[in-house]
Amino acid sequence: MNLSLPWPRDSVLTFALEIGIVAVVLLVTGIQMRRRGRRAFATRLLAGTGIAGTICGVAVLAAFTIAPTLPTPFVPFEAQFVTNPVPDTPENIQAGRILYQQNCVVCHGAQGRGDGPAALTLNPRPVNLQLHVPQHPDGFLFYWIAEGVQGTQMPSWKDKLTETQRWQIVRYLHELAALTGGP
Amino acid sequence: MNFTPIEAHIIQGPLDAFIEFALPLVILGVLWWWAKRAEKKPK
Repeated sequence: MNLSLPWPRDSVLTFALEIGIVAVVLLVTGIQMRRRGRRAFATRLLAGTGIAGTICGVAVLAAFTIAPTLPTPFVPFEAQFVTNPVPDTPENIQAGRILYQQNCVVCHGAQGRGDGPAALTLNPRPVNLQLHVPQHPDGFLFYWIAEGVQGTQMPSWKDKLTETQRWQIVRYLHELAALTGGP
Repeated sequence: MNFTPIEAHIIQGPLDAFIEFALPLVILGVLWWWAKRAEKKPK
């Protein structure tokens, strides 16, 4: 299973920073309230500091473990958690390989490194799939293949490839990233 | 070699913006309300 957060590292770290500020605000206010004798209020503010601090710690931990390291192009919420209905079989991977070679190699390259023959003519350049594929859940990969990526030359493939074919490509992309040993 | 420029990536949608920017304020508000509630409890 490819465990990955749907938010990139930068966003998770921003969230952690903000929660950290919340913890500091609660801590400072809690100390002030204790000095003023409002003990019940202060006790809970300090407990809140612990809660916010824990959330901050978990967010930092997640940011450096399961969050993608690059900002993520938009994917609707309902599409983010879709799983691959195509079984992980050699036949499907082989079908995905053929489809990839027919449709994707020209931009993404044979190894998926974003260095296909057409890559130099594109602005922005195609993404390095070896970098991206291990970092994103299947729902994201499928959505980008189906709908394209706004602001880039990555086209929508939903009218050219069937849903099964698009999922077979997702199967092959994992194989490609694993076989070639990552970035 | 990584050919991916940062400009190739689009900022996320409204849900992501909410989680990144509004959720910490919501958490602050809830914790503050919970703390304030302790003072109002009859002894």
